[in-house]
Amino acid sequence: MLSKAAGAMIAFSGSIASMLFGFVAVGIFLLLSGRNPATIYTGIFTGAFGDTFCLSETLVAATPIMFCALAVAIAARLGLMNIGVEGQLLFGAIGSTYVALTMPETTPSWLMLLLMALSACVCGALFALIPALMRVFMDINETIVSLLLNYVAALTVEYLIHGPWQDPTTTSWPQTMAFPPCAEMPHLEGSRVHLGLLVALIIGFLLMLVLHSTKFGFKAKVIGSNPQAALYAKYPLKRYLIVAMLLSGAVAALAGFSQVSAIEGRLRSGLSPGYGYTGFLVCFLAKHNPITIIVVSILLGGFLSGADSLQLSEKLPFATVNILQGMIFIFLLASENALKSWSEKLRLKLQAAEAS
Amino acid sequence: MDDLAFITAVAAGMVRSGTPVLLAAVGECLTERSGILNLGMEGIMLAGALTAVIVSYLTGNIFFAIIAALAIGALIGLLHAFLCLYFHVNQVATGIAVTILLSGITAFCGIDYVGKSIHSISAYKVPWLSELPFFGSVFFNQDILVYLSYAIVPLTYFLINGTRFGLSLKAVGEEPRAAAAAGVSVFRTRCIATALGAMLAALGGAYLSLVYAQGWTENITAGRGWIAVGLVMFASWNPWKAVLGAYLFGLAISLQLRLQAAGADVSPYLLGMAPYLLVILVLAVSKLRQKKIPAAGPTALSIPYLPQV
Repeated sequence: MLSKAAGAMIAFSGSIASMLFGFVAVGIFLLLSGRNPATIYTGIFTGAFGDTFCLSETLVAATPIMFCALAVAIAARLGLMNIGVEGQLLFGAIGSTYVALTMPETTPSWLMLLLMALSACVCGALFALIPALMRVFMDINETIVSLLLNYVAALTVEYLIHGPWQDPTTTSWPQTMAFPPCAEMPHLEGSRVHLGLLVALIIGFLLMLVLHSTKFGFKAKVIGSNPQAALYAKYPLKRYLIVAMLLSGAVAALAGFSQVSAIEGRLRSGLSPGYGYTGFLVCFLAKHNPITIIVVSILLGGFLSGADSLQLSEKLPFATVNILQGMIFIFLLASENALKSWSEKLRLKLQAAEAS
Repeated sequence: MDDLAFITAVAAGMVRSGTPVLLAAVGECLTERSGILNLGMEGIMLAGALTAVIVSYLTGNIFFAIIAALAIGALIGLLHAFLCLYFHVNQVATGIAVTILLSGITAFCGIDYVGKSIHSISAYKVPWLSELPFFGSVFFNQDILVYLSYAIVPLTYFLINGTRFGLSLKAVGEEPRAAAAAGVSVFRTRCIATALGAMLAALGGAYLSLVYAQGWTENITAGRGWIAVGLVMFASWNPWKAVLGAYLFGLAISLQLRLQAAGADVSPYLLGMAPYLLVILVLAVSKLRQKKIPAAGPTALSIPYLPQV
């Protein structure tokens, strides 16, 4: 047997290698489309990590990705594929917007933010409950249902900002009224980095603790990796699956809450350029490990904000981000098993060498 | 507009709106029967749609456009099959990865084609059949691709249930190891099934851009690929039932568009949700019914095949 550390090293090198392969593949694609990949990659890198302002923007972009990836990780622990985090994020945004627009403007900020967060969590969790119930009680694939619900969530946002919640002062813009000042999250002095980042980090560490040193975490792992054994051990399978989806939805909803409260200051369309899908990828890249998720989120957040800054100067379409994400994802999936069989062959070779 | 004219218009719209999903769903039926779950349908439809627009714009020839879309579909299907069969990866994750990649590539390459006018396919009245009351104007006053879809459904059904290949296909989807022992190549059968399914999805995409929307817009499919995959579950892997599901979806879209055009006092965004919610609802209802009589899905669906074990 390879040692645990070596196994982790191999798994992690797979993530790094697939990122590199992804960059090379997209580089070739950019070359074919008549752009210079070298200038674009250096542009993205300096745009992401070049100075303190760029770095702060990277952290801003990383925050919702972190929430979403952690949300995916909770469900993935039990073997659930929650690709509905995008929709749960949007419902979180809707929930907190409702509170921000209805509470009196004189509400103390801490109370306002707390209520907004609570409302977001409830909305996101309830939205995640639909695929959860369908999976648990009817055995319907949660991936398909949650994917379809993402479109429903996006249309709900459009309905609200074109209809009942539209800002009455500017009828031409599909957006709600600006939130009162008390609904704005505290920022780090002189940047857009906000409290949400801290909350995401705390959730990441808490999740690590819960998954690795509680009974819940252990049982969740058993259910995720061997449902038959869990059934045999009389674990409350259904309850665990539902609780995991509720938690997952609530964490994804916090991404929506922090975006409307700290970044947008109102509900509008284009709230998320696919943070949910990026979060899904990040969770896979990080092998569902909460601490690794934090690191990988910052990396991909950097790429997002770096590519964003090139949209104007290099006329780089934002879709490039999706191409890179798809490429990395495919290489990652392929590398996983390629590495496994390669390390297995290595092990056999070592064994044979030892025996002779 | 009197009632009959309204119903006829809605029904004809149902066929038009249902056709892209129908093609993709029938393709997914075929693919899933071999034991491969292809969640990349959404991306493949997008790729087919953009390819058809580009080729139609460059050559002005619809025939070439459709051939090119089919070729791209086959290529991506083979990529998915290769990932599933050679690397034994999680098929749900691969499908999502393929869709993310293709939605990026199509958005990137399609920028120059947004709003460009292209050669479209005009309707062709089937000589005698289009004279039929109601059915004539609903089913036989369409375009050539719709008629092709009428042929594809029974052909696919026959391919699955009446040919030697269909026998191998089902064997590979149910008991791949037994099939391999009997001399059927699991790898080749699954590759062919995935490529054929993806070609149908790409054709659906081409229909969407060439006929339905008559041009390219980013994310033109709006979830139709996912809907097709959902409908296959509803259809319990039977192409005929998939047609039913696809037309139901088409009816929801058609009704929604007609109601909007008639100036119904409902937000278009709320109406827009109806098709997605309908598919979810239909899935749930059919599952409740199947609880009494379990559907015979392919047993080996989405399970990686490891011949050496």
